[in-house]
Order: sequence, then structure tokens, then C-alpha cells
Amino acid sequence: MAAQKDEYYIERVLQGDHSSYALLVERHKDMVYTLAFRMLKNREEAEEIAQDAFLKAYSSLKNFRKQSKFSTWIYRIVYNLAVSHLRKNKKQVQSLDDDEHPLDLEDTQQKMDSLEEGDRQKFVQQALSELSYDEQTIMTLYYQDDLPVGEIAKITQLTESNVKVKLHRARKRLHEHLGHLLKHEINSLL
Amino acid sequence: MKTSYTDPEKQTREWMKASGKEKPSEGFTRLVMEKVETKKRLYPYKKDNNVWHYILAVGLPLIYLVYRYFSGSGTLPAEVNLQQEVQPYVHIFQLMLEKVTLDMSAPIVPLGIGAIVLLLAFDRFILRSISFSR
Repeated sequence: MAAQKDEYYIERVLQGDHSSYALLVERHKDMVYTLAFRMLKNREEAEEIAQDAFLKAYSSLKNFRKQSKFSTWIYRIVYNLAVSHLRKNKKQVQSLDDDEHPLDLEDTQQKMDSLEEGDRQKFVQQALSELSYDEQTIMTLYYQDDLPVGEIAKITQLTESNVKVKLHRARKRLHEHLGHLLKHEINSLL
Repeated sequence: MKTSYTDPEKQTREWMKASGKEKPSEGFTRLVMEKVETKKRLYPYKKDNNVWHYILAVGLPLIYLVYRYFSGSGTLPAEVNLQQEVQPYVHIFQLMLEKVTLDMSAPIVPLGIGAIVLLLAFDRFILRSISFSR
């Protein structure tokens, strides 16, 4: 059976076919969970928040305004739930010290190219986890889900220019973290 | 894979794509659907059209009053003076109204309301933008 658009399944659910919701969950669960996990850095909490997000979306499906995409809507729900969870648990966001020196991107790229695929993935994930939760969200949505800045602004409730600034800063910080991680790795091998 | 060392944007996208998406547990969809089913059982009327609830909420008391009127039990006995019966309640209501008006006229009330509005505006326009830009 050819995959239908999200709107088709939403209509089916609203007409009483609740099992169609499972198809929506199946389609978006990875990205919703990825967002929750990158923000909370804990698998159990991320799973719980992702489930709550789908449940909340189901309860409010009638109020879903079809001007935006379902994915944008569910990402916004999971983002808000994760932010509330972080605030409730008063988790601190790690940040890079301001006095750290920016590293040479070309050098980082060369080191990354010399790594195996699996190691490269590990280092990127590790560097990404060093960013603040909103930076990780923006990076994930922009580079992994290829969402335009306007959609990210809707999800994070930031202005488009603010998203652009954060994106630029997050990218720079990711490169810096990667550079430091690779430097430590090479030093430990020597 | 070798890349040109000129485009950090392209490079970042490549690395981010390579980092992959996280996967939830095997039974994630089943667990969500179980929760959905439980919610459906607990709040079965929430998803239905609410118009019948409104009709019932207005209609039932109305039907009851019509019934009382036509059965003759809605009229008061001759010895009951409605004005006298109702007077104490009206008096209490008047006292309450006077108290509220007096309280509202104190300068602390508009000041308090102003402070709340200021705090809400501060939270909405300043604190949130700071916390998100961290």
C-alpha cells in the first residue's frame, strides 16, 4: 500500500479510526524521540516525554490547524514538554567556556576524514551532546530533518533571525567541541 | 570520504546526517497506542460532539421546571411571602458586593494588578528570550 500523507491519517483518526494514529506514530517516532533524547540526554526520560507528546497530540488532534505540518506540530509539543521537564528538574545545560580558543576547521575536517564511519558518528554525537538543549534542537531539525528556518522558529517559538544566529553559533560550537575531542583522542593515542 | 575544506555548512550537514537518528524502544508505538486506548476509555465523551451535553445541561432543568409548573407543584403556598423569604439572601449578597467594592477601591489592588501585568510582560518578552538564547 502506498504511503499516504499525514493529513489522510489525521482525517481517518478524526473519523473514528484510531488505529490510523499508530501509522502516524510509527512515521514520526524516531525524530520525536531524537529531539527528546538530545534535549534530556536520558533514554528513559526521552521515551516518556516522546510518548507523552504523542498522547497529547492525539488528545488535541481536533484542534490541530492544518496550516502547519503535523511534524512541525508534534516537534513543537515534544520541545515544549522537554523544556518543561528540564525546568521542573532544574537541569543545568553544559556550556563551553568562553575563553576556549576557536579551532581550525580544516584541521578538524582532516582528522574527521581519517576516522572510520562508526568513530565519526560517535564523535559527532558526543560533540552534539555538549551543546545546550535549544542548540541541539535547532541543529537536529535543520541539518538532520532539513527543516527550513521558518518551521524551526515555529517549533522553538523564537524569531527567524534568532534561529539563524543560534544556528551559526551552534555550528561553530559543534566544530570547536569536535576539535577538542579529536585533539584529546589523538593525544591519548600518542 | 574526502571533502573540500571550504564549506562548513555542507560539512556540518554531512556530519549531522552521519550521526544518525536515535531509536526509541521496540514497543514504542504499541505503548503509545495502549495509552491512547486507556485515554479513550477514561474520557469517552471528550471526542464526541459536545452539543448534546449543552442541550442536556439547559434542557433538563427547563423540563423539570415545566413539569413542576404544569403539575401544580411549582406554585408557592399562599402563606409564604416570597419577598420575606428571599430578603436575607439579598442582604448577604449586598454585603458581599459592598465588601468587594471596598476592597477593590484600596490602592493596593490596582498596584497589584499592575505588578502582575508587568511581571507577565517581563516573563513573556524578556525572560523567555533570554532563556532561549542561552
